[in-house]
This record gives sequence, C-alpha cells and structure tokens, in this order.
Amino acid sequence: MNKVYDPVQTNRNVEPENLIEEVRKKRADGKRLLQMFASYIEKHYELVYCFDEGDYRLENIHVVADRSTVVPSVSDIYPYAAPYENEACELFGVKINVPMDGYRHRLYKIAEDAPYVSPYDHDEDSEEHEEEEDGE
Amino acid sequence: MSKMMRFAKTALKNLFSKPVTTSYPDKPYEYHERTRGHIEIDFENCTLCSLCSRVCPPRAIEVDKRSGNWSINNFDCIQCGYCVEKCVKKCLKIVPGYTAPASVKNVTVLHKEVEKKFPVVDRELCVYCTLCDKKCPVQAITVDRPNKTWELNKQNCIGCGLCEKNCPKKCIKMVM
Amino acid sequence: MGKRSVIPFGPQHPVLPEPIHLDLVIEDETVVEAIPSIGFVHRGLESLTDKKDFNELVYIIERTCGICSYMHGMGYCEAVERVMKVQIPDRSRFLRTVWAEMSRVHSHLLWLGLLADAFGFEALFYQSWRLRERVLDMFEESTGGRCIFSVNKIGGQLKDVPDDMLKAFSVKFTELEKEIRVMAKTFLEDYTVNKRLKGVGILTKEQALEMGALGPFARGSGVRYDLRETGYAAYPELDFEMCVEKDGDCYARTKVRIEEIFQAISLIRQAIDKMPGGEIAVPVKGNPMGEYAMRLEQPRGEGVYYIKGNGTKFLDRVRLRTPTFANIAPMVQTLKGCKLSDVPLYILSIDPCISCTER
Repeated sequence: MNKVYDPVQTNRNVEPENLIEEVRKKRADGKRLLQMFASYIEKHYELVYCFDEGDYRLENIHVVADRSTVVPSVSDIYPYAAPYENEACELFGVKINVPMDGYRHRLYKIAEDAPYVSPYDHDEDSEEHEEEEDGE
Repeated sequence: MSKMMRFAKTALKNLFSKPVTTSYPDKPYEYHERTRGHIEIDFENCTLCSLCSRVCPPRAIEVDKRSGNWSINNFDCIQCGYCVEKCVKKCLKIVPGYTAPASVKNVTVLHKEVEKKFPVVDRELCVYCTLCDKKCPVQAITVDRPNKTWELNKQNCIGCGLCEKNCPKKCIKMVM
Repeated sequence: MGKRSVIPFGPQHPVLPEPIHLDLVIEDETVVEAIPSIGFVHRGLESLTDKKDFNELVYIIERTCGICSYMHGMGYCEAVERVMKVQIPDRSRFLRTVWAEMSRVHSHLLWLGLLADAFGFEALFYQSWRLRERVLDMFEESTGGRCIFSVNKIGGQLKDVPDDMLKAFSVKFTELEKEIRVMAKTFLEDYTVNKRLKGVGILTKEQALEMGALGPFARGSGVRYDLRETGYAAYPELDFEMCVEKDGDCYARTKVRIEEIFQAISLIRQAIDKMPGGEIAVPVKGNPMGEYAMRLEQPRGEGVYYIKGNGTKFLDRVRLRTPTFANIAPMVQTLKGCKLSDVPLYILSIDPCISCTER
C-alpha cells in the first residue's frame, strides 16, 4: 500500500485589480500554475486560475469580468501562461494584454473571432443593437 | 561491439516465419461477439415512442409517429449504443458487421401504422408516490402528493410506457 | 553570423505524426527559434454543453481523441460523480483501473513505434505495432471497440467482463511481457539507437519546474510528480513505484516510458487477482450542482477535467486541459539550438496528441 495524498480543493473570488498581486504572491511561494481558462455565462466572463499548492492540493482563483473589462496578463510572472491566455482571447474574446510577439499574433488559426460567444452578443456595444433591444 | 546489431536475432526469426497480417478482403475477418458494428431493430415490438431519436448524439435515428416511419442513417451512426440502453421495449440491438462503403449515404426507413396510447391511472390503487412523474422523460405527468392530484399533459406524452413499467402498485395502463 | 531563414514545418509532413504547425527560424542548419500554432483539428467540442445533457456528453467527450479516449471518459465521469456525491461500486473501480492501464500500455507501444519511425528504424516500428495489435484484440473482446470503448457511464460501467475472460487476459499479458522485453533491448542497448537518443534534447530539472512540464517528459528530468498517488479508482489498493530518471535527454524519456509499460502490466495482473464481485453500476438521480476539477494521470501526463453544474441537466462549463497543451511551451524551449534533422524527434519526445489539445 502506498501513501495516498488527499487532493483537497479550495475556491476563492478575486477582483481584476488585485489579480496581479495575488499571482505574484503565488510565484513567490513557488506554486505552479496548472491551467487558466474562461467561461461565458450569462453575458459575463469568469476566468479561473488553478494553482498547485504542493502535495497535489489545488486552489482555484475566480475572476469575474465584463465584456469591456481589460484583465491584466500574468505572462511576465508565469511565462508559460501565454498559450492559455491566447486561447481565452481568441476563442472567447476576453480582453487581455497578452504579449503577442511570441506567437506572431495568432496561436489558433481559425476563421472567426471569438466563436464560443454567440454572434448576437458580438455587436452589443454598437448603438443600433441597443435601440433594437429597447424596442423589443 | 557486443552492443551492435541487437535486432539481428529478431530479424532472422521473422525472415523464416509466416506473415502476421491476414489478406483481409479475400479472407473474411471473424468478429468477436461483442463488437459494435451496426444497429438492428426488432420492428414488431417497437411502439414508435421516439426515445431513441431523442438520445442519439449525432441524430442518426429519426422517428415520426404521425406518418409511422422509423429511419436510421447508418453512415452517421457512431456505434455508441446509447439508444440500445434507453429503449423501453428492448427491441434495438447492436451487432457485429460494419456498414459497407458506398458512393451515396443511404438511409434505412421502416414503416408501421401505430395507434398512440396514453396512460390512464386507477385512482383507487394510486398512492401518489410521484415515481411516474420522476421517470417520465418528457415531464408529461404531474403528481401532487399533498393535494392528491394526478395530471397528464396529452400533448407532451410520447406513449413510451415507462410510467406503466415503473409503477409499484401497477395501477397505470396504456390505452388508446 | 550566418543568414537566417524561416521554414514552415506544416501540418502535413511525411515524418510529422500530428497536425501541429511550427515556424522554424534557422541559421545554417541550427534552429534558433520556433513559433507554434494550432487550430487545424479544432471542433469546438466544449461548446456542445448547451445542446447535450450531461449523460449524453460522455459519448462526445470520449471521442475527443482516439488514443487516450478511455481516460477522457473516465475523467469526466469521475468529475461528475464527485460533484453529485455518488459512490461507485468496488468492482467498477477495479474494472476502470484495468482498462485504464491497458490504455497506457497501448499508448506507449504506439509511441515507441512512432519514435522508431522518426529516427529511421522502420522494422522496429512494425514490431511495436504488431505487439500493440494484441492489446487492441483484447479491447475488442471485452468492450466491443478497438479504439473507442463506450463503456463508461455516470455511476459505473455499462458492460461487465466475465471472470474467465479476465484470467485469459492475465495469461496473455504474461506472454506479451516477454516479447516486449526482447524488443526493449533494442531500444535501450543498441549502438545506433543510443547515438541518436543520448545527450539530445536536454531539459534540466529547474527548466522543467519553471516551464510547467508534465508526465514522462518531466519524469525523465527528475521531477517526482504522478497523479496516481492521489488515490482515485483502485490505486490505493495496488502496489506501484514511480519511474523517474535523472538525465533529462530523449534516452531518459524512452526509458521512463518502457518502465511504465512493465509497471502497467504488473498493475493489471494485481488488479485482476484482487477483483471483487458484485454489481457494476449504481443508479444516479438528479442533476449536478457545483464545481470540481478532477485530475488524472493520462499516458501523456496530468489531465484536468473541470465541470460546473447549475442544477439543470445542461452543464454550465466543461473544460479539459490535456497534458500536451502544457507541454508545448517546454518543447519549444528544447528546440533552441538543435539541428534541423532532429526536430521531428524532439516533437515526438513529448508524445504529442494534438486532437486532445484543441478539442
């Protein structure tokens, strides 16, 4: 029989302004970034950053952002976070300032911008769509 | 030098033995009995309830109760076996033998005239346990335990018979 | 300083096993920089959550990839079971372990064949795949399919395997192990193969930890990280040792994978001996509510399966993070400074599975 580690998980909510500070603390403690991804639920984004706390424990940091919020990028702290941020940017349309030089501005070679968000929500910022919504 | 040519022994052995591959189209392949090849239906027992069509992931099965057609597009089927698991009358099965290649995707259509049946409850035996409500795949039955009411939405009902099968008091019958 | 040029190493190439695109910046036969891009097999599977309910999604998630298909279904089912707090029966846990380790054996044999093809030894490629056919025959006998099994469901397994079939498998694996040992001698001791694999593609332990490498790619550099220690499925009741090497070159990664094949065969034999009787599935009621991230040890590394449910039968979000996605950044790091003819070998040493990466 081997020693069995208990994989405990914790979840925490963080504002977009405090994100860089929290990630810096994790880096200073030597924690590894497992993954980062975006979800689109009811017209706002939820970004989740998963960190490995050692001994196979997990901590998930949730950041809720609007379609217009600019989320800071963590690729200078964790250089290998760039593919994950590129994926969130190109498939979901999250506004992150990713340094694009490493991937020649395009990691996913697909035809549409932000295909995971429905096309009706793309033009929400334009005035014509707002008038139509008021009319209905 | 002793580490050179480690593969020589295997190569010589293979040179003098029979080929491992079989000449497949000339010599037919014997499938195992559990191989998932294509779907077959025992059409006598089918009630055209359309549950298989609702659960098929690529929508390869189409059922139309009004015109009495059950059709399957063999080329779209992904051989997952979910329809076999969900069929109430157990008339579907998945058997070995893959669909032969063809130049056009063909659809198999079977026709049968079927009268739609609805569930009717015997009020004296019913204890309002709400099991038929929970098992109904289209939420056509509403049971209110405190008020002792049992209602059927005829428009939603697909006549699958799961309520009759699951009733512990056997007080539901499917009638025309 | 020589002249620099850019060569596209595209999705279609005779020696490239997976559709990944690399722009290689070379200077007189030495690669200076590599820029990856993906998206050629993107099917958008994660956006199907609002059209298929959570029971039907198992069949979709299993078909993400042909090599690691069982582990994807198993990871998704385990994640949903933890959210809904369902306890699966013991026989189902052991059956999952047996099929998962058989998946590992077949995946590593496939990789050994592709590696031999990449450095030009085609006869060894055919031998590996001939041995792999025996494992695929065993899959077809027990589940019905060679690559995609469709035996996972939320709450257990769909098909049971009779005990005499399991004993026959145990005997077949003993014979298979002898043949794999003969073949492994060529990989590990032959002079020409050693010249091609030793001392190339070095990733140090610090680089592996800093760039987030996973799986046998990191265990070849000395990082002790294997998710089977967390005790999912039947692993707490089986004995196994983690395979770790120190050198960090392609030879060390080959050795780690070959040791894992033998360890997997021993785990299969142990699980078949200890297999309990009983039922194989429990009924599941209700809809999932809450979130959980399940982590598994796939043949290529650590896979994370995150699901979020909101109480209806359609899930809010399903996310698979496969190990190849995390290994692309360290792979690009090892490509700096290598010769152009070694590039396919380096791409293969992370065991890429691009159809898992872009679902």
